[in-house]
Amino acid sequence: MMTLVLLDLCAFIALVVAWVVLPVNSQKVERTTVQEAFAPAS
Amino acid sequence: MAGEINAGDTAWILVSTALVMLMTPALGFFYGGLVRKKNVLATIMHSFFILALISVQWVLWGYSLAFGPDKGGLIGGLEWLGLRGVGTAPNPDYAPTIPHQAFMIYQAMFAVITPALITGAFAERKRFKAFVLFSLLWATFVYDPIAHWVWGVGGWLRALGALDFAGGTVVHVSSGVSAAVAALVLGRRLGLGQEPMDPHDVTMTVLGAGLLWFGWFGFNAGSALAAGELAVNAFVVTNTAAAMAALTWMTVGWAHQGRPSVLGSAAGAVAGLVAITPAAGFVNVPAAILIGLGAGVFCYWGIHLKTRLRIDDALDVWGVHGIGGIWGALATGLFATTAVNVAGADGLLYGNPRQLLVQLIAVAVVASYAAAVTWVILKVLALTVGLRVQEHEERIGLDASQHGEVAYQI
Repeated sequence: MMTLVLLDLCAFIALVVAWVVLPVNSQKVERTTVQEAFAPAS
Repeated sequence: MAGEINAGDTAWILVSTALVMLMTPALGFFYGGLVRKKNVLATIMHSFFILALISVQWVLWGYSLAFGPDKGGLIGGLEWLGLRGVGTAPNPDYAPTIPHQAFMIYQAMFAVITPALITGAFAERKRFKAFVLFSLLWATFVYDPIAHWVWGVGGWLRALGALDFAGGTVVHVSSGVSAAVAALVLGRRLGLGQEPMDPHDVTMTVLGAGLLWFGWFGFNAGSALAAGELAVNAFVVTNTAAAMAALTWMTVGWAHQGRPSVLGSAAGAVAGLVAITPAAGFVNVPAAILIGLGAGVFCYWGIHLKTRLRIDDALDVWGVHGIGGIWGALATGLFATTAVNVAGADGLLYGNPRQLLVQLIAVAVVASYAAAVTWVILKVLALTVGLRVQEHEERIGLDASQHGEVAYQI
């Protein structure tokens, strides 16, 4: 039981650290407006 | 000998039934947002229509086949055809403190949502007539027998000791594997890889995911079949696993694709809900966090593997429900403990490696059977009514070509 809780804590802390250090690459966003999202395929 | 009806248990199961019922239209919204706008009505219709279709099938013969008097461990008999003998007196074999009909209608909602899950695999290209017949045949020849094997009194997987609290194998492995088979048999959508097929409304999908999460409390906590400690455990681990999987999927996707995706968070939550389903009445909260973690990682990479294999499981049913269901079933064999449920069993981590083997057998058998029968049903339909819409029908969209309606006047 205690081992599982320690694993849980490690996993959760790793996620929190990742949110702090990971960069956000906004260049990856290709469609941002309603008009673009509903535009017919070219 | 019928037991005494408990008002609290009965109220909880009726509420849970309504919660699970809501999941099927919620699934329609989840899937509906993911397709192009020319197919959104047809996609929502798949779920909505199945709610009506299987509700009738279930009371006529489905319930009897799944839960009726056992025939050789393989199928229920037809003694309860049309609900003959299924009244308000409790059935002590299944739920001794609620009316038998309450148990029946609760199970009906599971029978409804399972074929609806598969519809994501053949979205945007399947003929409506083929979909109707497929759903009816699949519910009868795949869902009902598997439900009997795992949950029915006398069912052979139940007798073997397989643990499936709320449908990891019965609902998710069966539908996930069948979805992969359907995607392979139907082939890819026209223009896949050459033209954009982005979700037309992610807000609709996130709304659907939220409603699925809400309804899943009925799915898992209701499976305790009583308003007591086990229901509370199932409720708590369900919420915990969903949350952890949403966080994990979003983070893995962020590391992989450079952004914290809203769609990824929603898909992750659903993957966590899938994975905790078989385990909800057998594991504790620390295990639920690890089950959610695994769901977020395995399902995310499973979907990317599918993309690389170029299988057009359009809305990732295999990736979320197939892989999530298999992980959940095996995780039950790892983390189950009788400290949570004395009617269950201990898993590998609590000194019982046999349970993991039993879970593996259940997954393998259910997956193989579902794949084989789904393939036969699809081939029969392909030779009779035809599976796919015509090319021009697919190009104008299924809303117009199959239903003569359009979703948006904008």
